[in-house]
Amino acid sequence: MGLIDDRTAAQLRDVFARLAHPVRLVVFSQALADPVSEQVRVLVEELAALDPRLSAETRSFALDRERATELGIERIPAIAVLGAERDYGLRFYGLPSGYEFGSLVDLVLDVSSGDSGLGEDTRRALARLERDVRVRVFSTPT
Amino acid sequence: MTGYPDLVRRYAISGVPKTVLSDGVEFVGAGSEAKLLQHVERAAHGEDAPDAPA
Repeated sequence: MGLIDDRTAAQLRDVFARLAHPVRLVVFSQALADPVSEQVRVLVEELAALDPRLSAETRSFALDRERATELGIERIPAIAVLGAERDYGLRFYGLPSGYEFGSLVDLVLDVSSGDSGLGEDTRRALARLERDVRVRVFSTPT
Repeated sequence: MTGYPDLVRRYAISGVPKTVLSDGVEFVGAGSEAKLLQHVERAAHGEDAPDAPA
């Protein structure tokens, strides 16, 4: 048995039945330097195997520097959650365990839908911003 | 948060969820969409303070 048990896998397959568009999960790890990142790689590969619209791209943080720079990856473990046609800039750092696993699944669903869920007023205001803003949310795996 | 002690120190994270935006704009807790937008607008209109690379 892998990291995702059979019961969870069945639930996730149901959830992923709602996927609107393909999602690519690019996971950066480095087995020797960071064993946790190796766990994340396995988790992402198991997750991506649950639905044909999900794909995992496994990268070495040490060796695939070009890809890491292209995606703005600064540390590991890291997962870039990419839409089929678009990179919304969403990155998940750290081990998605406990409630944070749900956050990762939600992130996949959001990217797949291509819809932030924000209201019209918020979208209009954001479209008027004159420069990029980086948003970092810190949480604790529970 | 426990995985990145350097970031926890740099952004003085003592409670979560904590959100850190560009230009030192930050807040703790979930907050509403309107509140988040206010923070984002503040961060976008601030001076070009260094958003130091990690």
